[in-house]
Amino acid sequence: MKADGTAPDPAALLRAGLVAEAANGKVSSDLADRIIAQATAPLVPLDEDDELGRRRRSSQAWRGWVLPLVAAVGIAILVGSAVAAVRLVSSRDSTGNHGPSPTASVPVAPLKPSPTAHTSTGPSATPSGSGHPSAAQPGPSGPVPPGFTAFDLTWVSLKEGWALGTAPCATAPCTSLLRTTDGGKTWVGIHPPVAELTETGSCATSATPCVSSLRFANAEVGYAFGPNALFMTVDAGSTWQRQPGSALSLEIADGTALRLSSLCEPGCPLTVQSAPVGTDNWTAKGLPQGGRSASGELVRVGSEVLVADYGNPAGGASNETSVLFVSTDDGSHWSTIAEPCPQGTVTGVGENDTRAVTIAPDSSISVLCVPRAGQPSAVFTMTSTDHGAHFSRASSSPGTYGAAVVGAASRSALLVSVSDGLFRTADGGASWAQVSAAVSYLGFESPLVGHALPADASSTGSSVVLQTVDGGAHWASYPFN
Amino acid sequence: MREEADFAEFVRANSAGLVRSAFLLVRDSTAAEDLVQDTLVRLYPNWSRVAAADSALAYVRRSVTNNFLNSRRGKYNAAGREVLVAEAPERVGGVDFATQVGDADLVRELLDSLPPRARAVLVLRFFHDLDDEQIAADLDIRTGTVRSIVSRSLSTLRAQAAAHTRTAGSLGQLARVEPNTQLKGNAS
Repeated sequence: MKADGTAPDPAALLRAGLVAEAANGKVSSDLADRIIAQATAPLVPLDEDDELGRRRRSSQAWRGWVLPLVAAVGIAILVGSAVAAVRLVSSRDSTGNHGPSPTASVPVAPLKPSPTAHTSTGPSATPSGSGHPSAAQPGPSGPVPPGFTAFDLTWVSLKEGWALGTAPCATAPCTSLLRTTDGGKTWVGIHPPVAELTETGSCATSATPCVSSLRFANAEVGYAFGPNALFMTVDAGSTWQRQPGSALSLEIADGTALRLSSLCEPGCPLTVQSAPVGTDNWTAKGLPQGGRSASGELVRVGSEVLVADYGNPAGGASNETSVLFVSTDDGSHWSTIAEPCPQGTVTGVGENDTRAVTIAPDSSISVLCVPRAGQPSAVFTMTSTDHGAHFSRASSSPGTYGAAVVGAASRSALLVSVSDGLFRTADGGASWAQVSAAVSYLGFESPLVGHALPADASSTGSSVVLQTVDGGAHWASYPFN
Repeated sequence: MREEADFAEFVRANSAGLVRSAFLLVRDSTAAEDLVQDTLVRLYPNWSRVAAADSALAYVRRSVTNNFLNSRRGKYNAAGREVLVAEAPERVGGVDFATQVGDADLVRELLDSLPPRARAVLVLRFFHDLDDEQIAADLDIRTGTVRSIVSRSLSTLRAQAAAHTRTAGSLGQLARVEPNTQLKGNAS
């Protein structure tokens, strides 16, 4: 109906009416999160009630043939347990520090490190993880050593992950390695490589290999590495083989491992090498220009790789800024990105240094910018959605500088750990909310699922692991047990 | 992981629009959200196929429509329920506010009176601007059926508009607006 009373074009009326009517469809603010969570939720085991109900419903079908099988398996378990118990007692007696006694008053060592040989030493402890089945051969496992604290985490799925840490023991090295198959709710100990943990060992002057980080490609193949060593296992941690060189960072994707290392330190150029997962066939992936860096970091999501060649933000020459190298083809070709953090027009004033970098599952790149010492210390993030060609500065700061940790669930959902805690933005940095205490490790396995390790003031690692299933908005804490 | 990220990005960018479109079909906001959520969750395991389509949004929109039509016993069909409007439509261009309210009511009445398939045809034709052949292909019906539905619906709407002009008029529509609503423009 037009104002003059003439009949309107019904098609135009229908178009306008549908647009107006569609606007009346109300959309919940959390709808997208709900959809993503439901669609991408891992296939979790049936809970006890469901499992019980399923068993009840199918009881008539299996009763005829399963009972004899169950009886046979039961006998085998009894025999196996007896043998394992005898081995465990024998093992404790011979080494004195091989495994914890449930009643021991003094903490004892975790599983002993495995020799760097290809032959397996066989099980050295009771298979305490038998209640947490894995699709792959889990390798020998034991209980979590008392007093375990973690320094690094790695995940190959939403449920299967490993924690590298240490636990009190009588004879160094006390490096320990744990494995979970239920997203971090329960853990078992597995063989670590024979290496000190950099946080606890004297790596700088000692010939002892030191590791600081851990990455697994799948249930079988994993890497433990540090500033002077790189180990690889291809048998789920039963044995660890030392590789040539070392790694400051190592990330796995697309069937390859990419490692960042320095041929000497400090001040030597950074190098990137690639090898098919599980092999020692390392080949160079040359960066556009040789670094002279004090440190570096490599992060990766799929074929997108980012290398941060950190300058000397600890107080060196004012022009020692960081340089980023970005590749979108697993390191075959690189683009050089100048320091994305803004630099002041007057030397030493208004200068900011890239202190940490991350790539979100959506391939957006975010950097944590930290003002030089002596200047206002509010950190801020900058994010690029075009492989580093352009960076946008977040409009507000999560706080003052503390631990240099940044993680990203997406281009708009960032988390930054500073002195005051772990802060999250869901709007690209326009506003921040504290979601946890400060963390020392932060990583996302999907846009929703991530893990973190709380920062410990005593620098002895974390005794719990934090997990989020909503992109970092909420975190649950699980002890390593 | 890349596929999951792509899916998440798509959902965040398009879920609201899909719900508003679904609202035209199911006539209820909650049911529209359920329809969109159910459709996207079903599509996710084969998201690479969706992403490979010429238009992922068109693919999903088509899936939403067919999910709506194929749902048994009108799972998502809330036609006939009263639709609460939280905010009065704002004045657009030179259109009289009261006239706009009246037109929206006419369209709402028409949608509510149509069977699901005819409603889907109108939404695809006049909200998404698909041509008759595309609609026929999407809904797996004959082009003639599409044209017939469109023709009948437009005739119905024309008749309703004419009846409204005779019996209600602009002042009659204004009386249906909340008394405390602050009207903008030349509503008097």
